[in-house]
Amino acid sequence: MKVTLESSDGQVFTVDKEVAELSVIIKEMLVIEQANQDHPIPLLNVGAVELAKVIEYCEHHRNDPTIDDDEDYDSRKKPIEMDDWDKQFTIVNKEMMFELILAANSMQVKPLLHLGCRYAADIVKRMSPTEIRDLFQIDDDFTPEEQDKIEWEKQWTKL
Amino acid sequence: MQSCPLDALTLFIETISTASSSRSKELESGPVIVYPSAAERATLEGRIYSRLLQGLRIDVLAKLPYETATYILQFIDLANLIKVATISRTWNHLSNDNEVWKGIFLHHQDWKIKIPPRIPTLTTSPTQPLHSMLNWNKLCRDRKALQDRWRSTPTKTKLKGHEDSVYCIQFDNIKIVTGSRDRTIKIWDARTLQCTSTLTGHSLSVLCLQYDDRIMVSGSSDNTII
Repeated sequence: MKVTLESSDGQVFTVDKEVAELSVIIKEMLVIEQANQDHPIPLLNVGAVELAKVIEYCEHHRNDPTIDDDEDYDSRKKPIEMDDWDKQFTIVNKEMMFELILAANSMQVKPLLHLGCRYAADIVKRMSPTEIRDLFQIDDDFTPEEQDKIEWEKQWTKL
Repeated sequence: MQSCPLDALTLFIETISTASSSRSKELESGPVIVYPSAAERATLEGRIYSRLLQGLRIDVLAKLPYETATYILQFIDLANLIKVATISRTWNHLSNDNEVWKGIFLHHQDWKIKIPPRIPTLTTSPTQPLHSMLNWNKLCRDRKALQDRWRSTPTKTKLKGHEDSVYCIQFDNIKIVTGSRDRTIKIWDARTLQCTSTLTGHSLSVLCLQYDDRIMVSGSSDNTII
């Protein structure tokens, strides 16, 4: 069965139902709107470029077992394996990772959100504070007093 | 170049081809392959890197919804989270999120915690899961302190005085009492670790002893209890 999705800028995509259902939002919509599936499902927060990428991701992962990590907090201990395809996907799309995280978030495509967030976390892990501020163009807006407080705060994390 | 494969490479090739095509037009000759000079290459590479990073030149954590930003931080370990806290006010604020600290705690394979699924009390609403009410930052601190204490080697001190094997000890905050095969019981100051008194009376090894506020009882292989 096919489902049609419409991006915020009006582009229509037709995908298999099982692919679209990786998005929790679409899955729920399909349950509610079972009767009238003729017109496309509007995704007001997702542009065509991002939607195409999300669909590409979902197509690849259509047969994955679903992970329901809402309650199972232990599952986060074991990092979900990134396969080569995922790695390539993050490398190729790194310039739009931010948009993809937003899209995955608004569509609730949890594995993609997971992937994107892990990617962002990896960037942060690899860089020094100065590099991070540089990369994301962040101003160091702490007052000297606050800085002292932070320095003091982080004492306990060291041995 | 190795760290930024594919898209950087394509861009590199694109830029080279535009550069060379403009130059070959100048030369107005047939198919000539023009390689960029070292200086040109340097600027090209510079452009590639800046272009690569351009996609990210926004404060990611500040622009994302709160839940998503903290979700990112849940993939970060303790040392890096502390780093995040030093970036800016917004990042600092995000790094204090309880869910983030829960991530830190659960990331430690050897930090175990038993959370009863729900404790029905008058003060908590029954629908709220208990783990969201815990102060995970506090838990992390306590657990870290405990871990450090276990891992640090305690300072060892020898109590010298007995002339033969020590068979039994008992101690409290003030004193350490030891019974020995040298037929004596020694009492040591727990702070200074000096022997404060030596009790004699047994004619053979002191095998066991026990004291309370008032008396001390010791057993010996001379068949007596004093």
